[in-house]
Amino acid sequence: MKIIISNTEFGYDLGCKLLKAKYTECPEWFNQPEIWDDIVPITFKEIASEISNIEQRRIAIGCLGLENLVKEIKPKMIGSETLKKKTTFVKPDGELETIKFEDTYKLYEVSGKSLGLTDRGDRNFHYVKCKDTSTDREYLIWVDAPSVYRANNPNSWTNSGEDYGKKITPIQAIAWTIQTNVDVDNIEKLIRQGDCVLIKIKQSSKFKGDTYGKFIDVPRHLTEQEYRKLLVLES
Amino acid sequence: MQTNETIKLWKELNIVRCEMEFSCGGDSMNDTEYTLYDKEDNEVESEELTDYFDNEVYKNVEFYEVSDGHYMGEYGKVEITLEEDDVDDAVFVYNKLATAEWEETSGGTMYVELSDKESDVLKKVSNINGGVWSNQPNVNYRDDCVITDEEDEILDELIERIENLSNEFEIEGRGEEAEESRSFESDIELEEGKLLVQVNARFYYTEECND
Repeated sequence: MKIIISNTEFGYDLGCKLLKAKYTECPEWFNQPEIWDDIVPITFKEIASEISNIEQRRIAIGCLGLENLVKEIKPKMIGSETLKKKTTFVKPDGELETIKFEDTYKLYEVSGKSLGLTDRGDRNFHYVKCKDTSTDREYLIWVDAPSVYRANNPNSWTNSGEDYGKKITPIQAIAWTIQTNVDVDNIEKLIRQGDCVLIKIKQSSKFKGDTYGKFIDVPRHLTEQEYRKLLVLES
Repeated sequence: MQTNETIKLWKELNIVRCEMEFSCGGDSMNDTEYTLYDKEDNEVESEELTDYFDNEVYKNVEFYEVSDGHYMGEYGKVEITLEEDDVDDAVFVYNKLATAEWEETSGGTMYVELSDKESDVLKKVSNINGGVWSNQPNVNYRDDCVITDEEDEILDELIERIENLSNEFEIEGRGEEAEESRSFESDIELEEGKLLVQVNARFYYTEECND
């Protein structure tokens, strides 16, 4: 017997735990309503340790919900910064509207133990919390703190024993989530529509369209400075 | 090398034609081979001439190398000859003799009888599809549900039967049916109690393409 959730197959026992997390009441079609009250909803630790298939894991986290996930992993906020921004929308009548808004980015740390990582229980992991500009939907994006640090301190080394969460800022973390193969100092501006980021390359002083020397082979993460100065439009 | 120098060398070597063999498709030109012939049909070597034609042929002949899922490409040869009305008015003439390759999908609707149990299980399903190219058939479900072992078995057997029937299903198409190109798909629509299944196959054909 198996359970289908969001068109993805799960074994019956695991499926029951996911259903209990997803539905507040026993669904009519569930074949054993008498056991519903006894089913224990899935936890984030179980998802992390028992589900290796990425598609199943994505569905499972959706069943658990962001609120339950955050409750379980007990994150600690270690930084918060609000940027004052200005962007332009096209209204339904075609008119342009420029609005000013505040965008808050929060950096959190979570212990490896809370995530159920027995081999890395003593390490801290980090995510940045941000809002979608147009829908106010919240997102948690995991970041690799040592890599965030290196992106903003190119001449520094990192060592595995240090907690770089203490050395990075929420803006460095959100900037790090964008990667590009355009070299440093060659971006004129950035435009963001959700996950889609457009980069305008600086024009060559010699002739239009020349991009020689502006690209790098290995993509790099954006820096805090680039995110603050070059992001001109977002929705 | 200038054209007049090429014409001079061509004449000195007593060449009467050059053949360029080619094949292209999938957005690129594959390897090409140039062969020069004299009056007795003997092969003549001249790197200078083949280098010249390897550049000039693309200015004089159009090759269709962009395949689009229907048009696959072309192969053949370009015959290059020297035509001269008088001594001062000699030109190389490029004549393409090629075969274009095409692939197209043809298909038809197959009607599959269902048992009552099969009809019941399919109420939970929104689409089934598969083909030799996919590792295993796909079942898409309408909504969250429980699938019992018996229902699972019924679905597996039904899909296997549909696969077998789709392989026997007659499809008319232009040219030859490409190997392992059969596929089936059903959005679980019924007509007089029978399941409608779309069966497709890819067909390959060629035609002359000398322009």
